[in-house]
Amino acid sequence: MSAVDTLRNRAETRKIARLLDVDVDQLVFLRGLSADDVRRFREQVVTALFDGAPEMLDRIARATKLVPAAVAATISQTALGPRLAAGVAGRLEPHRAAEIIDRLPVSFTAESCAHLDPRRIAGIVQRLDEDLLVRIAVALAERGDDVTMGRFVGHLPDTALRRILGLVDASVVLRVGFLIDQPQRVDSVIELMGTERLAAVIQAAGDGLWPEALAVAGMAGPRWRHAIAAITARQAPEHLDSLVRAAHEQDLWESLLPLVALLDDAERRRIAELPSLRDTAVLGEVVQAVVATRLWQEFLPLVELLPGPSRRTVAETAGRLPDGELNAMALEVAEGDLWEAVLPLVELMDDPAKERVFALPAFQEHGADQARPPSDGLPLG
Amino acid sequence: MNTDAMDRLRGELAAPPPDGFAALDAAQLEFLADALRGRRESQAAGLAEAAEAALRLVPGVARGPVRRILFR
Repeated sequence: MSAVDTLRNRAETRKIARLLDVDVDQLVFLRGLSADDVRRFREQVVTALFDGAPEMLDRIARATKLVPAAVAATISQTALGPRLAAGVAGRLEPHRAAEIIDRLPVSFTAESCAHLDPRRIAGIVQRLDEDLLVRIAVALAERGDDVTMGRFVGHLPDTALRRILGLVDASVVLRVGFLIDQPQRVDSVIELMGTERLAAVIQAAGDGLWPEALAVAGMAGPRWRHAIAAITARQAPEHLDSLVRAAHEQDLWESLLPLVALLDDAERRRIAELPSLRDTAVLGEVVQAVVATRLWQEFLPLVELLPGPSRRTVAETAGRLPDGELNAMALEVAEGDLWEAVLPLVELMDDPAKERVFALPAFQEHGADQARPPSDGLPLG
Repeated sequence: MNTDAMDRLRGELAAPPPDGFAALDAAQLEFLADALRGRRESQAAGLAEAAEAALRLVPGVARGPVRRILFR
């Protein structure tokens, strides 16, 4: 599974845990499945839970239509409670649900929102007053209900979103962004935030939220992904070190390396000089991840800027790869015309490793000319 | 074999689970089926009592029609 898939899978698993009312750790076995399969399962669970709900909910919904909205609101709050009220609201016409919600305390509505049929959210949100939407969102943020906010945020109008973004913590933005049900809205949310607020949000990722930040970057379009990468590269070294450590510990290189590849040389050099990238364990794992995910094109520009000992570690690790993986690397290098970047790395390998590289079919076919100095015609050695 | 467990989950979902779920073992599929069943049962819990309580809040003039809808 790709790391992008890893993060999507993690978000989907959180959402399923909420729907099924189980601890997310009890669903750890879903992590081996593709994110698309887990998302489809979540959608099936939503259908099973909300389409197969007890008939009495439908009866209460029908009865609610016979009383004024104010009475229905009292019934919701006093007799039904937040969970059943949400079940009933999901069976009402959206405009009727909105009329009742308008008369309920915000704290009650926020609690109810967690139990609302996610498929009915768009219709209801469109009919609610913007001030109320903002207050509900802030109440959800205060409750720490990121999953529910993730269901709602994609349906909110821009004007409400802009106000909400100014009222909630940067960490909330990251956690909700990670769980957003409509990833196609990520760009417009970032646009509403603006660069300054985006920088504050990225700063907040250092508090254990790098996976969430990487997930959001993965959902963003090219323009904002580039901006996220550049702003991240300007963070303090200890901050960036925590990012590298998070990628190392949680195997998120496939999300991080494409961002590094978007940086200019000066920005990339800041990453290359990080203490964490002198750690042989970290470097060894990066190489393994690059092999598994075929990210040599993204990785090699960074390798060029690593300190000498770190480059040697990368070279030695690459030199120990099995022939098949080494050949796959050579093929990718050929495809991206990256010989200039990879040959200095080959130079740092020991002689047996060099001989293996030179014997590779991909090298023989594409790289031998690049490796042969014009003076003596011999391979580098 | 996880065939029985897969059938149970299919029954709870009223649809075949995504193909990748075939990789899960029987205990994992049973866990999902149990959780889904439990969630649906908890949805139904307290509904009749809530309906009775709701009826008491309905203005007298509407109480008859509301009662008929709720408890016919």
